[in-house]
Amino acid sequence: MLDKNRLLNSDLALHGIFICVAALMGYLESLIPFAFPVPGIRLGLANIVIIWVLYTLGLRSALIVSLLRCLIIGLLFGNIYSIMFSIAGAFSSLIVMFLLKKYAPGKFSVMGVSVCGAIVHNIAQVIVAMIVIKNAYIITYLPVLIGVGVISGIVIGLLGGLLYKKIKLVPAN
Amino acid sequence: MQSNARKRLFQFHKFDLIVIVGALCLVAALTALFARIMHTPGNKVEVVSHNKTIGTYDLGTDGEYEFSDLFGSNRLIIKDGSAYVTEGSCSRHICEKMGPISDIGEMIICLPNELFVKVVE
Repeated sequence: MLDKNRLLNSDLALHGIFICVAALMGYLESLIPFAFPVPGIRLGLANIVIIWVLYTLGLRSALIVSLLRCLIIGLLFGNIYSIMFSIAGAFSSLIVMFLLKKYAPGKFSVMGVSVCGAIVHNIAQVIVAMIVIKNAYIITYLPVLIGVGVISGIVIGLLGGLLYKKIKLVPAN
Repeated sequence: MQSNARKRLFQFHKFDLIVIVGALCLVAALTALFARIMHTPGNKVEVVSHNKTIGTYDLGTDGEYEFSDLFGSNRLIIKDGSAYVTEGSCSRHICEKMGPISDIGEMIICLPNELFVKVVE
């Protein structure tokens, strides 16, 4: 575990690595030659890293990695809208996952937490979309996105859980 | 005790199942609800660019319209009572995959060009 009150050089390096890997995951995902019938649906491979960081290093690290990843990917490949969407989704899902992990220990597996995170992620993005586009009909996307959230949440949760189980080694400060 | 709690993180729990089944029920309920409300064919499409309505077109009349500005261009095609977009200048061409639309409230959105096509009335 990291020291709660200090940010050491080794922590900086560690976070840098995770931001890098998370950003790369996002890029890796764009290489998958698989067209979904509904636009805006993604697997969210980067969230594997976020889940691992949340469970291993805690909320603070997960927030840093998650928000910086959104910013970097958004500035490199996206626009102001994609940054808004990804930050809204990342932030809300992270908060929900943290609350479930902290206040309902032993009730959910990593996969269950991930599914909840994915669902909240998609709901948050629909809300942002409704605000940006100023059209309440966007909400008809919600059922599709929740369904997809369940599937991707299961996949990401299983992979993230597996990583958390296997990778125990965290460099000592 | 600690390792026991850790082990529980990788087992499938009752609550996991409740969340998944609950979410799927919510999906079914919302789908049924929206399907009942939404499927009303519209008569016109409204084209909104940068928060300004720049044109309203009759869905009954076939036609092709080109919209371009500093941000890029899109071609709107109306055919057989539905509208779709081809030739977006945007990078990912999501708008081309969103159509055709014909029911009230359905939209084609091109975020890079800030162009929204919406079925009204």
